Amino acid sequence: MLTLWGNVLASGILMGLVYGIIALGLTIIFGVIRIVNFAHGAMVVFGLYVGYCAGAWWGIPTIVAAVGAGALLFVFGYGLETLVVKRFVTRPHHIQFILFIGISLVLSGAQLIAFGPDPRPSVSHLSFETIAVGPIRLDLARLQAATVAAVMILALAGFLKYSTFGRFIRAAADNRLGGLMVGLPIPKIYATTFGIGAACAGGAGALISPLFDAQPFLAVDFTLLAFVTVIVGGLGSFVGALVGGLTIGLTEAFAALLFAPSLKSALSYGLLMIVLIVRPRGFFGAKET
Amino acid sequence: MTSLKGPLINRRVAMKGAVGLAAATMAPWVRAAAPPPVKVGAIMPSSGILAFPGQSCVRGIDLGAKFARERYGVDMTVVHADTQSKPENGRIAADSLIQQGCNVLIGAWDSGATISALQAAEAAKIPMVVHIASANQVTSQGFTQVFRFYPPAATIVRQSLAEMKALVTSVNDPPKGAVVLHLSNTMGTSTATSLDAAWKELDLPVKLLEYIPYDEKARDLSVEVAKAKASGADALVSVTRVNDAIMIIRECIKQAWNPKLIFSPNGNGVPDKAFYDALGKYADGAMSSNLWYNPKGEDARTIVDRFQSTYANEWLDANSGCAFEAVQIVADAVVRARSAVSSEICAALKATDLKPILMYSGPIKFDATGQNTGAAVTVLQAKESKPHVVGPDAIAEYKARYPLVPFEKR
Repeated sequence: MLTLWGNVLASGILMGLVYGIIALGLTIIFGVIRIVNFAHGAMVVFGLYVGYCAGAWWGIPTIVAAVGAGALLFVFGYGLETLVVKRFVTRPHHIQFILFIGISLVLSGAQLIAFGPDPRPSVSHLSFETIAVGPIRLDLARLQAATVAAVMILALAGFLKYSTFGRFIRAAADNRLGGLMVGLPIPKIYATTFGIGAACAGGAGALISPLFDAQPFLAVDFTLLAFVTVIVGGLGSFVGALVGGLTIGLTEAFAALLFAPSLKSALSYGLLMIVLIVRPRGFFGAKET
Repeated sequence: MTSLKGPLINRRVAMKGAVGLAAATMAPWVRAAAPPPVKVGAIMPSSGILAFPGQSCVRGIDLGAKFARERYGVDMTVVHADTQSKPENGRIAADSLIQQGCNVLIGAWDSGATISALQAAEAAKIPMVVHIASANQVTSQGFTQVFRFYPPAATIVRQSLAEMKALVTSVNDPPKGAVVLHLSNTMGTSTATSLDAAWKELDLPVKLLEYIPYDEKARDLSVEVAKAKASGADALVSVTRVNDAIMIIRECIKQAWNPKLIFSPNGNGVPDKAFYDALGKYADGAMSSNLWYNPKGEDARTIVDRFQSTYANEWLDANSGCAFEAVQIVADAVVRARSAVSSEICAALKATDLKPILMYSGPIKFDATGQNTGAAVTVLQAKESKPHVVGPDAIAEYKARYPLVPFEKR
């Protein structure tokens, strides 16, 4: 029984970190540009397809595919912000929502045309591998995704804290108008931030490709999952994304163990409702000023 | 001996002869007259979450129509409609096809969409051949236009467990305990309920230890498989869609759980190409019971080869097979009705007594509720990245392999 509990705990932690990495891009974009990217799930699925193609067609390791997917999505995100999103930054939220839902549908439609509706399963050996730590078995694909999530967060935090452009981004996030007044290149900052957010989504998608079959219809699920994660953790906070992911992962794992597995989603949404009532800004969300 | 008194051939005799001769000469023409053109509406989930089986059904319908044209000479136009995997769209799709002049419908894979489409078919008195849909409600709601080729869930489960019992009573070291991992949707729950009843009824010599339901949108089944392993079961009975069947096997490998038997009554996975693409050698040995083509059927090889040459990257699976057979049922009815009028096709469908062309089944006959009484399942086992029929014995390609080779030894 102790082994079962240990395995469930390990599974919940690793799955939670995977959820965290999926949510990271969403929180970065919101934290700086203050827009909610409803196309986030479609970008994660784009990364999933990159991971699938890299493994199935060229035998490229998942981690290398994640770098490629990140680079591709950065260019895509940068271009999208420059050409489309920047016109909507100051417009009402409901118009932004419609824009991003539209972008999501276009991306999903393109994926459907390119790959068809069939699920594309990963052929990576990681899909079957675990590491045994005593009686506990750690899923290698999740372990890799979790490690990369930690590295990505540290790298992003370092970039924002120590680089000049990182300081520009933080300044723009704090006060857009002030930034404009002192001559910060706000359009470039926003485009770069959107690119980084999209790159995180794409990289996460490729990293989780050994865990999820690529399918266009997953976009909505991923968007919803990322939302629950960042709302629990706190919109705009990197640490919040990871803690939110961990909370959801552990809630799902223990709900399956202690109650009924089919209650997993119900309990994670129940948790979301409690957080919204008790602490609306999430665990690490900034107070509204 | 009238001939002695008068002429051998009088006017009446000549007339009778002429009429007889005319009838004899015309008969082959009447018999060989081409059946009237018929418009068939096919309702499938061609997009959305069920697009994978839906597209497979579309392929079966299209190939079936070509085959029927050649075999029966039926000039069949197929009009496709998509439910987008939403049950409520079944009725909209059926209405649209009826308005386009379809004389008969085929569909709709998902039980919810099928019932919804049947309501429209019933209102317009257009017969509908249900190629796949296992919910009991399809034939228990008093529809007069329904003709279901597919068996109800309870029948599939009962036949499946009878085959499973035959297997476990014939092997050395049979499994002692089984755990049931099943979807918590309509199909999964109704199958699990039927499973429970049939297990007791058939008195299977394997103890049922636990039922573990899971959500159909589950992204991770590690805890579910950990619970199944912890139950001490050495047989895994699963009721799944393809994606979760893959997830379950992956988790068994990761958690070093090696059940002696993996068996899926009325489930997906083993019959599907995606299962092998994802799992490779780890797919081997898993079993399921499904409707499947009869590998020893007269026309099966020709049809399978033709399917392969038409759709090089696809398999003829249960979805395309049932859709193909449904088209033949319609073609047979049109030929017998000699009419494209829906009411006459419906009457002909009621009188169907057809030897199946492709699928394994008894003679296809519909009872008063519209259920095919000959419907039968096969047992499939994954071997060398393909499903093979291992039961019933009469059509088996191989003897079932038992127990499963442990995953780490593959």
